[in-house]
Amino acid sequence: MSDTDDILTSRETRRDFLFGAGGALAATWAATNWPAIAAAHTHAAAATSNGGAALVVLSAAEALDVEAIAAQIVPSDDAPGAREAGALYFIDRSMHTWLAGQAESFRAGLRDFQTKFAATHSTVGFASADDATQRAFLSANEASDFFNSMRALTLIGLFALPQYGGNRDGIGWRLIGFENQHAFAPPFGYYDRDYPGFKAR
Amino acid sequence: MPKYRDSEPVDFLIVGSGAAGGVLARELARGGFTVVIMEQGQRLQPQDFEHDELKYWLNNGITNDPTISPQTFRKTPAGVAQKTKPGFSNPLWYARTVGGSSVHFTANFWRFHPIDFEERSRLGSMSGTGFADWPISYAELEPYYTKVDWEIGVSGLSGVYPNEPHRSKSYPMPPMPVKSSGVLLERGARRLGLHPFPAPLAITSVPYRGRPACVHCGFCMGFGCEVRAKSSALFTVIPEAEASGRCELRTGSYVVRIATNARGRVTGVDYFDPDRRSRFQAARAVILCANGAETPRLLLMSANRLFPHGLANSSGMVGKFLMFNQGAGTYGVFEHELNEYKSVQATRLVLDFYDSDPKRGFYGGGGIDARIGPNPILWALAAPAGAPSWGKKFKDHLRTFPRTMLAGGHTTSLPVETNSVSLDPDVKDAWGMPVIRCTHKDHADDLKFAAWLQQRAVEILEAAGAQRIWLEPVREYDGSVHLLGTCRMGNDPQSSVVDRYHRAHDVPNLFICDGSSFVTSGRGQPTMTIQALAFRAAAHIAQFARRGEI
Repeated sequence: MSDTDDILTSRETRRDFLFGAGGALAATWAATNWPAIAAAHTHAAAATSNGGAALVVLSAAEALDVEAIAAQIVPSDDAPGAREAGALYFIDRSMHTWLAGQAESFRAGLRDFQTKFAATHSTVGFASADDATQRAFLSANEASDFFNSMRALTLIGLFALPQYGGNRDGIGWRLIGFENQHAFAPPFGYYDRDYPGFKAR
Repeated sequence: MPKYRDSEPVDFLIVGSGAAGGVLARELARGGFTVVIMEQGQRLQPQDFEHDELKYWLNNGITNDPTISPQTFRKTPAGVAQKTKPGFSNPLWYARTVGGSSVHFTANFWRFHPIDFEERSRLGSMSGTGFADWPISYAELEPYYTKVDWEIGVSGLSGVYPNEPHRSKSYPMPPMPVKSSGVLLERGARRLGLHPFPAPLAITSVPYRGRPACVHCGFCMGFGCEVRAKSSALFTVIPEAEASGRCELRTGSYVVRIATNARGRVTGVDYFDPDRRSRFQAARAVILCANGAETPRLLLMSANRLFPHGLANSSGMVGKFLMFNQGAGTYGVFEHELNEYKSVQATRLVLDFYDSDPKRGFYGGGGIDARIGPNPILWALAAPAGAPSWGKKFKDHLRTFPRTMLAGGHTTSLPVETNSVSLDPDVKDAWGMPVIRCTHKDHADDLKFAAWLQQRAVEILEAAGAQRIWLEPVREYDGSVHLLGTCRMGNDPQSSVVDRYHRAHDVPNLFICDGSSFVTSGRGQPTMTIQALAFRAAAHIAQFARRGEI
């Protein structure tokens, strides 16, 4: 894309690692714009096997940090967050299924993240740092490709079908009040309960 | 289903089994002609369609796959076209399956208005565009719109808004039950003196022609319908075409060239079968319904000594004037739950801003509908600009999902000649064929009008009592699912590709009917018009064939 002055293009270029930007962008258009959806996200390989609790791609040390970052993106409060939803397991599973082709660049991004954190926080790794330290470091790095990928993967892991390894027990769906049901009947919400029927004016 | 031999010329070979191809196949096969439909994709059954966002939205579950069929994109002809990157989808996105994009469409079925066909005469020329009238009028197309309503299956309510175009018949099914977003859009719009009405949808509100009523699962946009309530070609005209006993549907069959003889007449098509064997199917006439991206590509790939710039391209217009439909969305968060994730995308629609108004200082028209927007994953990925995108506050934003609706803006795209589909000079697909190079940059008026209409949506949501409103940015599009205008229809062979009956000006036994036939973009929701054009084309083509005029 040649027009470097285009805000959108520059945003894409900045974040085109994985589909962090593509996903977010597409979602915005998808919103209304089914017409505009297209340019975004997506990857070809379909996921196949069932999600399990064992890690396949990520090492234990990598997993600790990935889970800690996910838990900052959607924290646990009175309701469970990304940690309880198993976002880590979704991400690990993605790296050997539908995102297998990008696993190495993801891990490289994670290594850079860890190196950068270690340079300024010499005693402990990111996952062992206190909450305020973690948030401050993520705030300072929230424009990075790695963080944007982590954000996209965490959210996908929160809301994708549980068969992909995340959204355990429908935790993501419960958080946002989404019922995973095949069929519904009206009334659907508060405002259509007492609708008197359409009358033209 | 009959099996025709490659060497046995069929009356009509149709490329593409989607919205247009399905209609033409049914009409011509029922009319007594032998028909072969070539479809690149596979045939899916209702039980194959899952509520799986990862598969359909992030993994090209049924859409054109850039790893085997990449495309390239550039904004202007001066730019270098970039190939679709790993992890992204193609700019021109369509469902590659029996039924085509009618399988995964949202099923909004607006008719065009009379103004869409004669806007150039009414408004004059538009700078930097090929703005033109259609060679047909709304009145000529109206009987076929009605045919779509009844033969394909559209739900809605007629006689309920002031600028509604003439209809010879009401809808065959009542409108879908209103959703909370529809009630709120109606409330807000009426407070502003506007005229909201039930959105017409190609979805069954009651059992219809052997299909059950919609069960309100909420997975229309981007998904196939597992109960056959969505009136896609897959569940309507395709099985009806097959039931004629004269139509053979060949899946996994990828047409790569239309062959012509020394007299410049089409003799059949070269295609790859599912085993990637190169084959030739003979035909007395060919009808292209491959969509506004693949149809011009196929014509350009069919260049030969007699047609050096591509088949049917003496005008040089094949692939030009690509149009998408602009538009931007506006989110409103309300006090109580709406649960928009249930049922169909849109139940109320405002078309008060349909006509362009020169007083605004720019061209444009459109509509605003009340919507779900995307399903949870895509919704979560699109945080409001400037708001926290992670952490506790972001989690609170996620919790507004059931209280949020979308006022969707759907608007015009002007026909700009440089916006186009052409063949990429370097990149090849998995079959070794040149891929689509898309060139696209929105006309300035299209962006101005999208922003203008978005402000009307803000007013409607405010009047409806939204607690918080956030805007999707108006932006230049670098891709779409509305693929329009690339083989435009017209009376003049020097400035158009097909005539008013969809016959190629240059080739008497070649017809082209899909989104590529559009002269202007309309205001959005093109499939209704694509299917009306297909019914009309079928009626004329059958007459030509019977009179020996093909």
